[in-house]
Amino acid sequence: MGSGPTSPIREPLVKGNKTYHQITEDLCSPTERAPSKAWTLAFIVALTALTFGVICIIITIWVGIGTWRLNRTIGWGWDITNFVWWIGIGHAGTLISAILLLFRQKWRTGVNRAAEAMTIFAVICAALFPMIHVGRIWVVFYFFPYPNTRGPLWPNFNSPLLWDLFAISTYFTVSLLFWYTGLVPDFATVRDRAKGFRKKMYTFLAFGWTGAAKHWQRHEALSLVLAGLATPLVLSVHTIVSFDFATSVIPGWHTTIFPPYFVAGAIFSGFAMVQTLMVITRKVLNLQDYITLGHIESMNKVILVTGTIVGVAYLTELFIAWYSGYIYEQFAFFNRALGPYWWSYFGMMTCNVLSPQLFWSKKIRRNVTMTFFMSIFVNIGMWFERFVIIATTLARDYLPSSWSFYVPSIVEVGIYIGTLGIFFTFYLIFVRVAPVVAIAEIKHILKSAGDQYSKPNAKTTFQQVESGSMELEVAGHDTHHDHH
Amino acid sequence: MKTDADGLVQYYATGVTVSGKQGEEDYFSCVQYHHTMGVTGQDSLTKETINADEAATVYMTYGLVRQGFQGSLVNRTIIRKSHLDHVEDFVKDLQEERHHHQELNKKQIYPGHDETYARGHHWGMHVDLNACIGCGACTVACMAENNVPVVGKREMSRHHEMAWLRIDRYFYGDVNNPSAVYQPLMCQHCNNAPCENVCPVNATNHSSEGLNQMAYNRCVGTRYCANNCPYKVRRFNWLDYNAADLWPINEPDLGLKSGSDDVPYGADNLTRMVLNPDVTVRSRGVIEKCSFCVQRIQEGKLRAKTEQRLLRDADVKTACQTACPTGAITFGDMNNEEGELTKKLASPLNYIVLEEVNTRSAVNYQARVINKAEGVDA
Amino acid sequence: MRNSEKNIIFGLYDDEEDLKSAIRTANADHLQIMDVLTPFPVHGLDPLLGLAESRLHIGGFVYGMLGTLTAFLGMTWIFTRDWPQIYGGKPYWPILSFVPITFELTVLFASIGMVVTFYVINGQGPGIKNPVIHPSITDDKFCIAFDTDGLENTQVDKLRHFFQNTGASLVETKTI
Repeated sequence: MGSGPTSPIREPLVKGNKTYHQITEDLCSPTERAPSKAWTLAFIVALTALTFGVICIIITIWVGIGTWRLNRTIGWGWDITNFVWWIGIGHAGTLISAILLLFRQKWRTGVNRAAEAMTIFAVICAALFPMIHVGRIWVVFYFFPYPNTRGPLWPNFNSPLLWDLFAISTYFTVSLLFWYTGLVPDFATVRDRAKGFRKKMYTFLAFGWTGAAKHWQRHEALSLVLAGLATPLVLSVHTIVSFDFATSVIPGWHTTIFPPYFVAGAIFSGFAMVQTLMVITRKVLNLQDYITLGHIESMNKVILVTGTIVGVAYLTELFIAWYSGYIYEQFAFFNRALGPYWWSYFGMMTCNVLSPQLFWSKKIRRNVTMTFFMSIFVNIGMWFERFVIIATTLARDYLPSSWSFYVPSIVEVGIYIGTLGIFFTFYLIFVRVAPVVAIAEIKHILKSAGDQYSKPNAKTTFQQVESGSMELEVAGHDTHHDHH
Repeated sequence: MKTDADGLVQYYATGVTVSGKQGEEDYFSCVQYHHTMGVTGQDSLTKETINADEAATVYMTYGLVRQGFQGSLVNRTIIRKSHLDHVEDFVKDLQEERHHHQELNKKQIYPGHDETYARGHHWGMHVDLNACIGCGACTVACMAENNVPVVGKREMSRHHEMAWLRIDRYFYGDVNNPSAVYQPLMCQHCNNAPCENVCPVNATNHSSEGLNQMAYNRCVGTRYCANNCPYKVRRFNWLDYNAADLWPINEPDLGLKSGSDDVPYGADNLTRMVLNPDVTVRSRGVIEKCSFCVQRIQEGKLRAKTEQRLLRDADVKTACQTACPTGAITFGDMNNEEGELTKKLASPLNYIVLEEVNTRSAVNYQARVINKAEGVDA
Repeated sequence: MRNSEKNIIFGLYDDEEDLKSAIRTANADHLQIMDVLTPFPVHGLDPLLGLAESRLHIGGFVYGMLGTLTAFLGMTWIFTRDWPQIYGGKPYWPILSFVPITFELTVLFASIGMVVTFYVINGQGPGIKNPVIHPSITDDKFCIAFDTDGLENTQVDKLRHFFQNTGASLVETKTI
């Protein structure tokens, strides 16, 4: 994680002249005070959405997939669109916690905890869709390779959908382990401040963490290796999701550009969702000193870069379709842009490619309100992208005789609203239970990135602290000599 | 039924009147309502003769571009036809194009299983587009043979038809007086079947006789296979069409209540008697598709075996083949050099739908050759 | 995992640099430090305390290889020995199709194995209660603890002296 010297021109990552104790106070207090009115209201809304979603899922399972408006041509609609959207959103958390850890980006400490939590909740929402979109959910265990008495009959390891199962379950497990391992020391901090029932709860959650030097050493080793594993993992997950389409034969799906294009899009939409949540969270929980404008700007830069990559991918697709000289491929893209679903292509292009270009302006990158609206735009745009790729492409493929059209039913919309409900319910519980910013990690970077240490007009620089310690060391040796 | 004095059935009626329905409007379900293959007509604005697909488009506010552009239809490798006058050039072009596709298809990384199919039987089909008159007898025969659910008007209008064998019709010619090509399309039993690769639970695979098989009770219903089928022949049981569920509440009201009692269609004992006992009735949530009448194949093989002789063409005929009044459909063993199918496969007019996708389908279509003078109605 | 009861003396420091210099003093005085506890990972402690580099990553590699072999050999056995089937014209051993699942299981095995190992060797886990020496250690204090079992009072006094000389803000004895 690195607490080495920081260039004085770097913006401080922790503001407000914090001490270690103040950090503990600031970050633990949201879990200790009674919920605010805003939280209660938001929780009721989220829970209502969740309930609506559960009802719609029950209808789907009870009556059949016929309650959706999919048809013989369009076998996947909102279900898989939402699946890919959610799994993409999850990617930002792992990117921040793993890839930025490997790149020693200290600003990740302000947002990694919440972003990883978001990953886990988003993956839960995503994993719901492949499960309920099947015709016979009661035999969905056929996916798993387990010894059985049917031959034994195994799953088909050629199927990208099976690769998906392995990718997503691995991704969920690794994210959860990574997140929780980071949470354990912070739960110990909350535990040592708590009383009564909360003490019991956090004692259980803190796994008996003491803060021993050897444990910290192992903790750091574990975090580093998990980050090293999670980095190729996060790239592989959306690559495999893109294989669902890229390995098929359908024009518009059968595209080698999909893996990098999907990964960039996933990071793009994930960072947008992190922005949506962080902008609200830092305001409501008063965390502006920890999630600074510098953090927001850094994330907006990532949005700009990935949004531009996605834009290049869209244009490359169009070029390759034309260049291929293959009428089906050409038609697929003509149909996306100018066919009956032109509005979703238009929405995708506007929200994903054009709107992030505003972030070339530093003023806009550092504007919280603009950031919030842009993050919503990007999320809408990325939803449209998946809709364009899935439903629009299926609607008109090789055989004109089978062309069709699709609008979702209320049940499909309800399940989508339900997953938003699940996501926000979990997130709201999370901000009440766990410290939203990683306490130990913020303390770790305080001396290199706190504003009293790193601002040009700081009272002490890191070098001064360092030389101060040198003096202390000499003093220590003096003491030692005194004793003998 | 009316009979005459000799007791013979009279297939006509007299004294029929039009009831009060006259003048009333009603909705009908139509699943192939658009998309032609090169109908020409006059553009209402420019008065030029253009493709009717373009003529059918409307201006919209998305720039100045027409919405619903349906170009790139004319040259699709689905329907092939020629006028008798140019048939020789047509055959030459067709052979050249097919050769090009086949050379490209040879460049696949996997060797395939051709030596497996060369042993024993290798089932295949031939459809003659010249003979097909689009009557739909094959579709009906298939539904009766294979227990394909009848889903009714409402489900049809949602594109939930279940027919394993459909007749695609494409128009061409003048928009005011178009001609049509009918193309019976069923599962092509591709040797490189895109659907088999993507099924996660191993519910569909390839037999050593070249059949694309479905294991209904293994199917989970992801619909991935249906999405990945270039021919769109896989059908999903969206609702409990066969009224086979444990709970009556799940039986969908398809507007097809049978008889006087309030039993859903397919749930009463009399209707159930139409089911073919040789074919599994599919439950809600599984995919189904043409099996090349595998029950008839097995029966034919057994008959040959008990009679201790080689299988003959006459032993195995699919339901669609027996129903076709013009003999457009020929089914058989492609390894049987004496068989009728082998003879038909020799025609230079044969082609495979979407051959360039390298699905290696087992169904050959014989291109339509038109022989009518200019200006004569079809 | 609670060991048998133990008497300790511990001192709390306000800053990690005070802690480090205190450890240096203790090392020079040949005092046997039982444990050092901090609210966050303080870099530079390991050489002072003589802690060897963690071998967790070696474990991770072994677990990962186990995952690779499980996935690859398992799928190979299923597709070529247990029940060979033809899917879409692919050979019975479609090695390219095995890449994604082999990779995922490698990561899965390595991660789960390492995390489980981590908690087992740390003596931690769900619901396990280890003694909390002082609640401020997880907040803002840096702690050095000495085992006083079997020590004479003069030796304990010497330790107390050590804490006072190195600037500890709090010195206490405790039975854990």
